Amino acid sequence: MNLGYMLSGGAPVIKKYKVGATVSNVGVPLLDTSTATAGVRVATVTSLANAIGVSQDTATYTTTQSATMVEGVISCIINPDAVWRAKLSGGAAEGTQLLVTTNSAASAGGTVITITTGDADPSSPTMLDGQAYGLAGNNVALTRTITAVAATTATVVVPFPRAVAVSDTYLLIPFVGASFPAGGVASCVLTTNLYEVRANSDNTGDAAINVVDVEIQTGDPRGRSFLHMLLRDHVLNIST
Amino acid sequence: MLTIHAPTPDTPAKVRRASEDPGRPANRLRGGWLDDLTSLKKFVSMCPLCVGKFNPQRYGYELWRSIYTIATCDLCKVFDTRCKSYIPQSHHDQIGDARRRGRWASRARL
Repeated sequence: MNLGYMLSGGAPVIKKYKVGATVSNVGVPLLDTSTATAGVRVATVTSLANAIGVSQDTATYTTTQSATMVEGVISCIINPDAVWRAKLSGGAAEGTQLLVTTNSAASAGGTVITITTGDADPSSPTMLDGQAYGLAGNNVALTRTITAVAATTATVVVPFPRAVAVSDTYLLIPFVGASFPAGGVASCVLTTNLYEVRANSDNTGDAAINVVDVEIQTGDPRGRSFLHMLLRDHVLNIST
Repeated sequence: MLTIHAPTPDTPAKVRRASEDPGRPANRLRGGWLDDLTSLKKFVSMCPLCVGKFNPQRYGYELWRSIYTIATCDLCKVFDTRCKSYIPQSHHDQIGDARRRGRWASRARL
């Protein structure tokens, strides 16, 4: 993930911290130093608890004494109000295209998208409080917030301007700007290498974030959509 | 003279400061330290007085963003709010500016 901007408009603060585990990748979230460890650690795909920022280089952790040893130090942007721009992935692997849902039942009112057999279940992982984006058909490049889901349907309360026709395709994304599902607690699941955010996972109960915006690039919405997010459980927040 | 140190509680910010890297050792010359950082492909920050001494292209580096950063200068160790930061060009896709480089820089975003 990459620095998008600062919510307050300030400059990014760079700190170099000792590491308690090897950080092999650039642009991955880091966690606070836990008890009895030598320094900051890499986040996990489902936890951003006590986050400290995002790595800007790499570092090797070692406990082997040597006259020429180099202590592992990682550069990190520590602003708690930093908005991170993470690409959305359709799977656990980085760069996976977002999953397509093909509508199988017409909705003249433009409010119900019914999946085709084989498409992802909108209710598991839940797309509730996410958004539907029109890929092809009557409502191309239009989005609506999903307000109800079932095993085969995703329902929007504000209708699309035109009917949802059979064979129209949509992206179902579990995030929408300023959406705070389940009582104000948004979350995400990161890809295995922690670079991107999975769009085929639900938005509650995992890595704590706040969704600022969802950037869907109309030229390649399946391959170049981004989540703008804050690290909600940041250790330098006034209240964590 | 006797000095009394009143203990203060550990806050997350104090813990962070304690684990911060002290930077260039006093017995290291700036140029050699910079060589070490760049060979390890480290994120490099420089204050306004030191930035002119660094030729990023020579080391395969590029300007991280066209904005100031708040950092400790890797050469003179002064904490400055108007630092410039540099990254290895090989890290551009992960943490570099999202805009395209070169002649398309102002036209489209990746």
